[in-house]
Amino acid sequence: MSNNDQLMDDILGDFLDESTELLQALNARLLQLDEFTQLPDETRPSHPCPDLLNEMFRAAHSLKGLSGMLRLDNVNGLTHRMENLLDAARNLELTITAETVDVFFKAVDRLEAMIDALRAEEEDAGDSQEVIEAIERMLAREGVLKQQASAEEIARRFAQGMAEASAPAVAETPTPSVAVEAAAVPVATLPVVDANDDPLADVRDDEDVPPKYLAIFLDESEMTLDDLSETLVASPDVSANESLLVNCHRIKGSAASIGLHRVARLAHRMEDLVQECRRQQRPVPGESVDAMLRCADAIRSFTGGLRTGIACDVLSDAYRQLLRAGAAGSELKLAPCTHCGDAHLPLARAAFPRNGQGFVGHVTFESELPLSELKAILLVDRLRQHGSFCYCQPDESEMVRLSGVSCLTFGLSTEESLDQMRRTLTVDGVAEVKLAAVINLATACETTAFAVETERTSEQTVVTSRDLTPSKPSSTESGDGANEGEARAGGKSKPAETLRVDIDRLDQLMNLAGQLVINRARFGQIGAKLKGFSAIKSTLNTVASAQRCASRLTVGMDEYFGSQSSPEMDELRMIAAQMRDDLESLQHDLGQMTHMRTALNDLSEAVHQLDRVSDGIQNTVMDTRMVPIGPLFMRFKRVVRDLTRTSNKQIELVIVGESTELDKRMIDELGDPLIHLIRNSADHGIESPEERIAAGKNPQGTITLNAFHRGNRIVIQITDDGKGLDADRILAKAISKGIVKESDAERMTPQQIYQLIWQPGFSTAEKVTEVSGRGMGMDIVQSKVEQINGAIELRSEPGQGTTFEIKLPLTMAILPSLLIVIEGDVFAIPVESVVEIVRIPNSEVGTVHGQRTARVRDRVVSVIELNDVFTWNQTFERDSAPSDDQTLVIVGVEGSELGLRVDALLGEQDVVIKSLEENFQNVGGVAGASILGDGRVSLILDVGSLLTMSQQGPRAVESEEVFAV
Amino acid sequence: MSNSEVKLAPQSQRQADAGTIQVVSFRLANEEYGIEITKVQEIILVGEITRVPQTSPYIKGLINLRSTVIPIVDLRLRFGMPEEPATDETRIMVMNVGGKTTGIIVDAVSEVLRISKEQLAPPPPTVSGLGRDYLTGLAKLEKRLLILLDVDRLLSDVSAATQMVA
Repeated sequence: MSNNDQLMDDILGDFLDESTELLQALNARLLQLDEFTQLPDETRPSHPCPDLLNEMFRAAHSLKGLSGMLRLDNVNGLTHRMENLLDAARNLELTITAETVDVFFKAVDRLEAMIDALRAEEEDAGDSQEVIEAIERMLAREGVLKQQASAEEIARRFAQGMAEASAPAVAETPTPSVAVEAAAVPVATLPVVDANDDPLADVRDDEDVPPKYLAIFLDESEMTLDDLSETLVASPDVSANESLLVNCHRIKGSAASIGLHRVARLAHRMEDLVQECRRQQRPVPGESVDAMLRCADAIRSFTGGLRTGIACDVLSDAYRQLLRAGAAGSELKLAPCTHCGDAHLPLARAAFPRNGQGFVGHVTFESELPLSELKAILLVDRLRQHGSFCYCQPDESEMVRLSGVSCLTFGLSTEESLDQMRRTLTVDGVAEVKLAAVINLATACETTAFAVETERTSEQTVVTSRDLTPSKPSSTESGDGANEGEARAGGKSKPAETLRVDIDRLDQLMNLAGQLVINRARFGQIGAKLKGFSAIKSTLNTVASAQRCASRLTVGMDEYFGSQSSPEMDELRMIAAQMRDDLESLQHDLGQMTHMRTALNDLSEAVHQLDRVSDGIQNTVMDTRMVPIGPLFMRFKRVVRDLTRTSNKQIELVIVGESTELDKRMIDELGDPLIHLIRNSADHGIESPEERIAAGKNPQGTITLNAFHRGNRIVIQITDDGKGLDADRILAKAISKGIVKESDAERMTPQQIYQLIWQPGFSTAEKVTEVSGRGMGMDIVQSKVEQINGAIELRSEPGQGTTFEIKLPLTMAILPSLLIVIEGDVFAIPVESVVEIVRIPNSEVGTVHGQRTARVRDRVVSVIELNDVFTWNQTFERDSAPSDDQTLVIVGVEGSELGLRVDALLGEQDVVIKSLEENFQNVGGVAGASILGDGRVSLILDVGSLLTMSQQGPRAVESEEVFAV
Repeated sequence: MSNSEVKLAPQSQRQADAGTIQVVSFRLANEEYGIEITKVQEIILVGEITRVPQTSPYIKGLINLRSTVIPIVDLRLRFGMPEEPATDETRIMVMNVGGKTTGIIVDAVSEVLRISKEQLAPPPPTVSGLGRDYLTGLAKLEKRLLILLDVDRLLSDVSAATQMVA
């Protein structure tokens, strides 16, 4: 069963994804609905836009269907109620009020909680009974509860769809009670399908399918279709029904959710078919398998058409075949007519000539009908006016002899319409009429629709339709259809193809890209080193001159000593000549070395190329992880709405730049801090309407969420137009909490005071409201943001409002850094925290209150040695000689600055952040480690905590030190 | 740099017979210790170690093990022995404990031994102090004694102790 488990896991994963999207959609629509209820009565239309309700209904229905498939009874039960509510609303049986919307919000919340629990593989602790009861109360009050038969009945009704649902039931046992049940099904929605009509004619695809969702749908459906076909091809047994059902349903759900209703309808029909088989505990019969395979092909070519932009519509054909196959299956279980056993229907059908067209029918007369034989003869006469009989049982001559006819089976060649035939057959004394059309299409596609019409003397009328002729193998037909469809080229634009990828794989890829970046840096270093050795030219010159000297020496010796000859002289001459020759060959060899220079140039070019490629890979990998921030922002609409309700304030949330893209992991991490900031703005920032009016502001406050790019960073701003931060209160609080000494307080600028809110344990709210003050202080917000290498800043104007600005790097894994050397150790400082680098003479550094400070361009910056704040347990001798100058890297976050004295600068480099926590633990003042080009590990300095540590002083750090040994 | 010197066989092949355990024996000062082989990922040469501030003295620092940054514990310092400069025989044993990878510096790695249950003895009561907490027992070999270390406790205590510092 592990295969099955795997399947269920996959499905669950898909369900979670899909349900999250559906819930988002529901939430968004709900907010629109909420706005609708907020409108003043006079301007509000009596009912909200039906499209809105329809979309919500569809979302709820999809959720219900999916959850039912996975046996998630809790989710199923709740969505079922939601669906009821929405159905009532869209049928105008229920007026949407603020209360309805509230109940609905609760239901959606409950659902979200359940889905979250599923995702976390936890038991869902919540209880949805309350919400369900609330919905039921509401429905009952509005008097629409009658719609609610047993849950099972409704489930069945929806599962079996619309038109087809009631047919078998009625045909099987035409007793009054069943008829009543069937009548409860909304009759108007049951289309009468005329066989030569397009069976999908009444469904239209939405005009504007968003390409993004389309792409997702295409991928999904392809996978599902593959699964489906695979199962079907392997001649499915009873156990395969489940997976068939799931797959059909999945196609249905996803197609419907993006508005491809025709595909949805087709898949729906397939699902019905399988459902029926499952109910009867039997495998899907062979002909149905064929038809379903054809349907799968049809959907595949249809979606293929969407992908390529070439319309290919063979859905209708496939649908027709499916109906036929389904009917063939269900025909077997049709209860035979009590009188003749329906045995004549196939005979009547067989009696039709080839290419014949008309109807086969079965008429049952009321029992106890006097002179029923006469009635039958009259009926036959009536029919004859419309066409010619090719079959009649009992036949006319027989009827005359019979005393009482209970039923009549006939085959009639005619060109009349189904309606006309029905009218003809509607005479007194006829209890039931079954009619099947025998159609001869020009394409020789033989299709028969069987319409069952049950008429009772009562006024209840149920009209259903069903194709009922066994399908014949017709592979050529579908082939034709496909070709025909493909020929119809449409001008639809081609959607982007997408692929679902496990985010862990992307992480892995990111990691590898990071290593590539490291290696690239290493290549760069090697290249630079080699360049240093390339002083070939001057060496060549030196050798050349030496060689010239040597030859001059030999020549000179010859001239000078002329004819003299002695063994000593000869030896000297030989040595000189040898030297000259050696130098010559050395020169030659060195000449060869110039080629190395070219090779070196090649190397640097290759390194350059590598640079470009690795940059490209890095960027592409980053891009793949980018998702728009929009959905995250949309979540806050709800938050603000709830806040407005509970706090009696009027707040509008304005969202800007929702298409700005961020790393997926960052988006995941940003949710909590953003919610907190928004709550904070709403709770502490925005004033009550009265206060606002008094201050001459619009009574409605505005919180703006804005995301945009600035340079190499992404900025998220949360701006409110409230009263701004109260510096006095913050200061008072900080003093009372012992965060600031009273003596220091007087000298603080408002900006410095504002920064106090980041201190741990700071909260100005006097009483803990329902909204803020849930224990997550601003310090947590800050640390959350810093965890993803971001920085958060705040600006506030009294009376004007407050702006929080979160600055984030484009990616979490790679950090542009400045590499510096302090006492032989290489450290990386994130470039974004570097304000400037200055070189100042020692004389410019003085002390203020014992704190070393430097004057840098007319401002005073405190200077620290790294060793002042870091405690090393291994010390090295300082090898740098004291010099007259000092190099200071001025680092800063949130407006405060610090000069860090460094021994040397190595330049800027992209470093890959390695977490220390992964194998070790977090270390104060260190944001992580990175691997340098030469393979060494260097620490990345955490400027924010360096600043904090330097303010506390080295003593404070040391006192925290606990040595375990 | 830190080259892999001894690559140990994959875990599946290290499955000891029932009743015997396999240990990697190593030397520290004049004593011989053993660590169960399943805990040891690999043994590498000592390369350059980047020191880390605000940690216990026995944390020598960080190294780059095939693009993963792992901490290095000096076992001598961990046991309160005097520090010795590295020699040709000094090695880093890379451990996999509790999902974290940590290296420990030892004076020398000797061999892989198979020890039967009969050879095992509980730690003598006379051993006291820091070391005792991390001993699982003694293995009596022909001519010598092997001190078996409980690496899990040894290294989880490392994180716990240093976490207080951080």
